[in-house]
Amino acid sequence: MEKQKRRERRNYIKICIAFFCVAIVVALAIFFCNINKIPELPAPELSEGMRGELGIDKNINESTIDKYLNRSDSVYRDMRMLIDDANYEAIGGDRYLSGYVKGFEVVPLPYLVAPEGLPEAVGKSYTGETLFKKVNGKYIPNYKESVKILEDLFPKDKNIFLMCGGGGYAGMTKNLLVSLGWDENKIWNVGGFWYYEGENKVDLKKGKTYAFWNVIYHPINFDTLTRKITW
Amino acid sequence: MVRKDNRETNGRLILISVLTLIALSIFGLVFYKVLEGGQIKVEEKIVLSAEYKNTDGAQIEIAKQTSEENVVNFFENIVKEKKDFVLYVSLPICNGDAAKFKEFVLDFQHKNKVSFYYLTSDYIKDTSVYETVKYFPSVIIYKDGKIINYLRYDSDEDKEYYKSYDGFSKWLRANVEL
Repeated sequence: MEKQKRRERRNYIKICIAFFCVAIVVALAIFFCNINKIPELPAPELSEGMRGELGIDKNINESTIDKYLNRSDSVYRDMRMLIDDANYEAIGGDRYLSGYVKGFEVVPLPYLVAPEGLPEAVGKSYTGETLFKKVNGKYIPNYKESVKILEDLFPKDKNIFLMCGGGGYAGMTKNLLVSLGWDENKIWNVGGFWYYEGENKVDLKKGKTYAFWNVIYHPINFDTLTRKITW
Repeated sequence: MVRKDNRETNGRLILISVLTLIALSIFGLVFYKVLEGGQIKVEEKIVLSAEYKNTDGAQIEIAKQTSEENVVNFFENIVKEKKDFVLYVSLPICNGDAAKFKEFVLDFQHKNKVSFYYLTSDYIKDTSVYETVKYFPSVIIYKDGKIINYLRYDSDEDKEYYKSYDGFSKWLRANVEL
């Protein structure tokens, strides 16, 4: 009788230990799943006022971008030129890329399409070759490879964070991508580097020198592309 | 039986009174809010100090008044003098319509023969202006050395003042007695 009771007790203890082990395994699995889970992003939403007119995002912008850096599901692009052809000094600005946010890679908008609405005082921006031209509000590829290059630089399956000096070039880039079929809900105009005061600022201006060698830069070699003939 | 009826009637009356009071309070609150929202905000106007009126209409570029290292101090001294003036701050980078806005500010000064101070964004983060105004371009109204109003680049309410000369002129005249 007592033997049976002991056996029952042992079995009971074994069941308890097994249950406890399973519970630990489940808890650990949930814990590790959550560690690897990338937090969801707030949907793109325009800022108020003139910043919204530029397309700068209300939730992910210069003040908050630090929280969204280093994501494996995202790409980060700064749309300025290293040295802009537009004479920004004429209006008190700087044509040189004086800094950027760590993680952002430079893809100059003027190589994709000619920027619009620049002040007269700065003269003409870059007037060389571009991947696209804007005709009657539509973006027409100048080269057979234009769309492929854009798809490589701005992968459609990733979230795309855009930045520039004041938000204008980034806004124009979002317009270009969306009009060519990119999902507007996966593109954020983060705004202008001028406003950024976070912890990932990389200053390139050291005295009179600009340390462009520290920038991840995506050049486009137009000489090797196949021009599309338009009649 | 009659007493019970009276009690019930009294109870109902109290309940109705309480509900009426609550309804009236809510109605009053809503009415007050609607009235408050409809009111036109009365801006505190300044009268420009004499040296900024009857000028050639050119802006006073602070960076050209002093050496590069002294721009911030130069500006802060103007603030300390407690004059009534207008400051225009530009952000000369790729921000679209900001360039057109600069033309409105320049035109206004020429047409009205007044002069505003002008600072570029290069210096602004080191000045006291940046404690209050975060987004540029902006036009800032100073009275007795204090900011009493400014154009908000991040506000829907101020959008119309950035978009046309008339819009800007309307806002400025509401703040400055010319």
